[in-house]
Amino acid sequence: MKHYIKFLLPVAAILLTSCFKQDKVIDIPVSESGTGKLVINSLNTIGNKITADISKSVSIKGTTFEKSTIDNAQVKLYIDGQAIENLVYDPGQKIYVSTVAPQAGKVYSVDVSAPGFTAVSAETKSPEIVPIVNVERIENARTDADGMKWDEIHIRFNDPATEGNLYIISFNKKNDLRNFMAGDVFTYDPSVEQVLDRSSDFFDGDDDGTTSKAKAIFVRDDLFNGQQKDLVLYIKNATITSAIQSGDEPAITLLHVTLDYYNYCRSYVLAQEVNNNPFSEPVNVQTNVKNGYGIFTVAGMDSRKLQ
Amino acid sequence: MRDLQSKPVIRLIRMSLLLMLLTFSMVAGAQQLDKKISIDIPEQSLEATVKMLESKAGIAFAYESSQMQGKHVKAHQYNNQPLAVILKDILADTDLQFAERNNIVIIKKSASAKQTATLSGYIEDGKTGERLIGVSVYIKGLEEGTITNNFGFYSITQPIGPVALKISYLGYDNIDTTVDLSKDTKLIFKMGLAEHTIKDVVVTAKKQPDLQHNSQMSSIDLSMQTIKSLPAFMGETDVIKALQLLPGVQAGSEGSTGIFVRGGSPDQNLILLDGVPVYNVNHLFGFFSVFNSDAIKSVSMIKGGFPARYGGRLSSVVDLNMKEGDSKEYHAEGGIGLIASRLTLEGPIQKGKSSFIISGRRTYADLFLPLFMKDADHKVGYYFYDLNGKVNFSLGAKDHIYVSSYFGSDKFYSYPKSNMKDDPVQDKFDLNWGNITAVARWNHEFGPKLFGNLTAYYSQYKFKIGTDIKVTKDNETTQYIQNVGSSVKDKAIKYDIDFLPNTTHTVKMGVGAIAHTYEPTVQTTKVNSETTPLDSKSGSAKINALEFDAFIEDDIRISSKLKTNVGLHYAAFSVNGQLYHSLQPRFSARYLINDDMSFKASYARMNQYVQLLTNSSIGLPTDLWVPVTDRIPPQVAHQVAAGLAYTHRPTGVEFSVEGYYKTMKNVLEYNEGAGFTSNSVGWEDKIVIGNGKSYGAELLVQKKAGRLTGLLSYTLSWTNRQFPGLNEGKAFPFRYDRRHDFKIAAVYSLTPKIDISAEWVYGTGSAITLPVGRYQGIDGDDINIYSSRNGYRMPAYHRGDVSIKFMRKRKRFERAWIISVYNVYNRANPFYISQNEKGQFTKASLFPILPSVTYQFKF
Repeated sequence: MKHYIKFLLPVAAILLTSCFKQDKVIDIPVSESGTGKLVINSLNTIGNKITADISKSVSIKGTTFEKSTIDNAQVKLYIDGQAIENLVYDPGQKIYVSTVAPQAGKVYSVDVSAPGFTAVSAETKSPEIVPIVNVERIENARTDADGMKWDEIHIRFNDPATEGNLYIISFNKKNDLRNFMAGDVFTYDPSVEQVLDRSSDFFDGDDDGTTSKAKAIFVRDDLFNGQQKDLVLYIKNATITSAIQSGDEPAITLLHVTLDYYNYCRSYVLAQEVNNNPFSEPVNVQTNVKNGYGIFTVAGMDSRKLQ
Repeated sequence: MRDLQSKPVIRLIRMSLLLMLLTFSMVAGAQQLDKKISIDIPEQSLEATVKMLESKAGIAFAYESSQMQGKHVKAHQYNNQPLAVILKDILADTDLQFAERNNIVIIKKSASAKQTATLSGYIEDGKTGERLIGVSVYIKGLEEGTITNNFGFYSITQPIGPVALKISYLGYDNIDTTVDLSKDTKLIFKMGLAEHTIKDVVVTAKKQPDLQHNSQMSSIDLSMQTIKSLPAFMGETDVIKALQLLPGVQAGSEGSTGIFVRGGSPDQNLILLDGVPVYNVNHLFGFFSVFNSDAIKSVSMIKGGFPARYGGRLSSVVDLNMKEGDSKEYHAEGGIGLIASRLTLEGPIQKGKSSFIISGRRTYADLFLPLFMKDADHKVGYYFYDLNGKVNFSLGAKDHIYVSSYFGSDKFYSYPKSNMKDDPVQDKFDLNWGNITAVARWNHEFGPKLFGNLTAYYSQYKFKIGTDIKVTKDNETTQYIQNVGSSVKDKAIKYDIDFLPNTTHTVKMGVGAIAHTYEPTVQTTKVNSETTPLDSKSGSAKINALEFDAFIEDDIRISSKLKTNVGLHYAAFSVNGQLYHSLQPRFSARYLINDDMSFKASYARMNQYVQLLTNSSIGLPTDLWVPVTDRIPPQVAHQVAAGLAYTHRPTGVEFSVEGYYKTMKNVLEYNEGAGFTSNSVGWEDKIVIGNGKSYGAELLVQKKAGRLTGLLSYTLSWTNRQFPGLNEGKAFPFRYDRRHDFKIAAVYSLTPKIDISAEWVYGTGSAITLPVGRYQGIDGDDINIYSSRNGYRMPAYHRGDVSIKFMRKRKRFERAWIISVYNVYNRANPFYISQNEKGQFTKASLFPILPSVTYQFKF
């Protein structure tokens, strides 16, 4: 038996250490159908002037991604179907700027054309601002399995009587919409369609069917239509405390959003989560831009600083 | 000899002679009746027809002319048909019957219904006493017979008189005998192992009647000798991987034991071990199955034309039976391989009446890993084990009890090493998953034609991930214990009856009830701390469901050419106050074109009330079994299939060509981006419900005897899925939609002591989704653009394996060395495709060339 073991051991060692070969470049002829289309990135809030970032989609096979801002586009703005103006390109910010600040209840649309590109268009109806009634913070309300302390945050707002209102709640710097995706947040609230943060995988031990970390909190009003909502979030005490101490003015932001934007954001976060994960099905980010990509929307925003 | 009445003296002499010969006929075969002739019979008297046959066949007939008076036959042409078939036809509407006595065909008045008798009993392995499943008990010359059921029982009802039988079973010497059936008779036949043929067998479906005679289509039986002859992955013979060689059965990802049958997903396979569903058949993330080949007696698979006795899954039934154990002698059998070893013990409890078998297998990667991780802080290990046990008792001539059980588990662990005991943070991690099955079966013979079986079983699958962290700070120790897991448990009872009134009908019927308990996810958290103690439990609610089913089926021999199996399966499933129920008709038919070739067709409706949520191609233990609910309807499949079966007599090569078309309704898939890890919503909110469709053609060629044996299979198929919320609602290819799937396996007996075997598989690359462009999102991150789901293909998969087996047999000891090489030409098959930082597509491959060696012994 001894000589069998002498033989088996080195063979087993070779096998166990040679079981993964990867990163061999292969040629798969993919379509270029997603290349060379106009992209609109335009998230606007009520009361702030409309802006739009116009760029183009590029080949998937490029060595590095070069954001190709289109600076010679014509961006025509309509309100309730009436042509209002052409947005003006600002070379400094590399965005197109309007003189119009959106109002609740109006329909805004844009037609975008540029030499060499198929024209694209998008339309959105502006929801109203849903003010935050109150934000209450209870420090160190919970301790998790890792010994982390979590603050309990109550966010109260009055849902409009109309059905199908959608919200995105985030923990971020006050009035910093481009940084709307917060981290280290969880909730037990059944109204929440929550999207996980990539870092929160199974082995973090945070997943029990009701809690999880998240980047942004997606909420439907199905369960509280027309009523005052008291939404409870949990945020790491250390995160809030350090943000306050560093002067970042941490805030809770309540965005009242359109269905297009809600879907765009949800699919966008999902797409980031599964990106480069070979065992997950990839996610197509939804768009309301006809013949192109991106999002053109108006949202009602309110924000409260955390004290 | 012509008219016996006109020559009374000669008649007397010859009849006396016949009576004398009758004594010897007990051991004689019915060779004349097998003789094939071609004859064109006009519409005429029966007697004239008999005379024509006598002349054409050149065989002597004995009959009473008076018994034939007034009888006529219709015109009919026979081409190369056995004499027995022709006689059966022309005497079909008369009160006459025929038999052969020492090369003379006797036609006489048929016994009345009251004058039939039943021959029943069991077929056993003559050496071990194990009862054999699927043995053919065939009435020679009549194209009639039966096969033993899952407990080795057979029953044949025939007119009183001699019955010439041929009993045949793969790997055993045939039994040719004639039984003088004068009353109901019980006989136990003991078959002798055909030593010279065992190692020749590669793959077989051959249990008489031949492939073309069986009314069941889309099915195959694999012998364990077959499975053990094939090249083994890392030295471990695997039942499920052997099934992957069959047409219409596709492997999932590299090395995985997942099977995708005719476009179905892995959860659509009903995998039964001694009649008990096994929920998770995977060890080590699917690279090995849970079935220890030393403990398995038989394996059969059905892909379509499902008999009514099966239900609950859409795509296939894999029926495995454990060995019973030698009831005469004690034996040990085992093997030592690179990653696992196994040992089986069997023997009598009470000689000839009861026996036991116990079989275990365990891996020892956990012994090797520390050698590579000497500097690590933690002791990390992994192992799996299987334990099969079975006992059976005879409680007299009519009752038999079988009790069997299976335990299997995988365990991955990480513990701090002893030199880390002073570290302020002590963290332990465990990942466990496994199945438990236990079943008791009680056979009872109510009579020679009626056989009953009562089954009670328990099946469980559960997995658990546990963390145990102790943090010591300022002399205070806080312990955090967290467990996350899921489970499914079944408790069932059922009763089945086999009723064999005559050789025209084989009726099976049964009822059963299953109590299911599902816990999709549950988490317990405990904090042992003086300041902030916590003890909580959360997760998805436990779901209790009750399933009831009943079936009846009849295998009907309509004529010598046409045979059908018709049946009805009823199932009801009650969950969360919602009751689903369904009637599932089943039908299959065989039409014998000639003795070598038949046409077969089938239809089956199948319903499925449990499903597996998985978003990976590998057998992760985290895949969730969940039931239908008030929101998730049952899956339903309709499948039609048709094909030809042919045996080339001179070579014994069997050919089977089948086409199938299958629709699947209410199939589930995780929504985009969702998975087990996203527990922010309940599992019902993570899935989408849609439809599937699969169609294709399959070819199977098998050579079962001789020094060179093997199989060749080819599948041409299309499979797609369609979900309202995915791919813009358009149909898209299923991930394992594989246009071409080709496999070939062969075993060559080089010398009586050396076998060599090889297999080669080729398959169209799996369907994958790849980006066709990208742009920047609203916060500056890249966004990929995907054109259509699963719109691209991985490079084709192909691989060759070889094996050589050196055997030595002594009087009481057998041993074999098996050297196998997996992926012999080191093909880098793609496991998955990703993109590097340069935007290029890259493939990751899992297994390069893998040699292995296994030592087997038996005494």
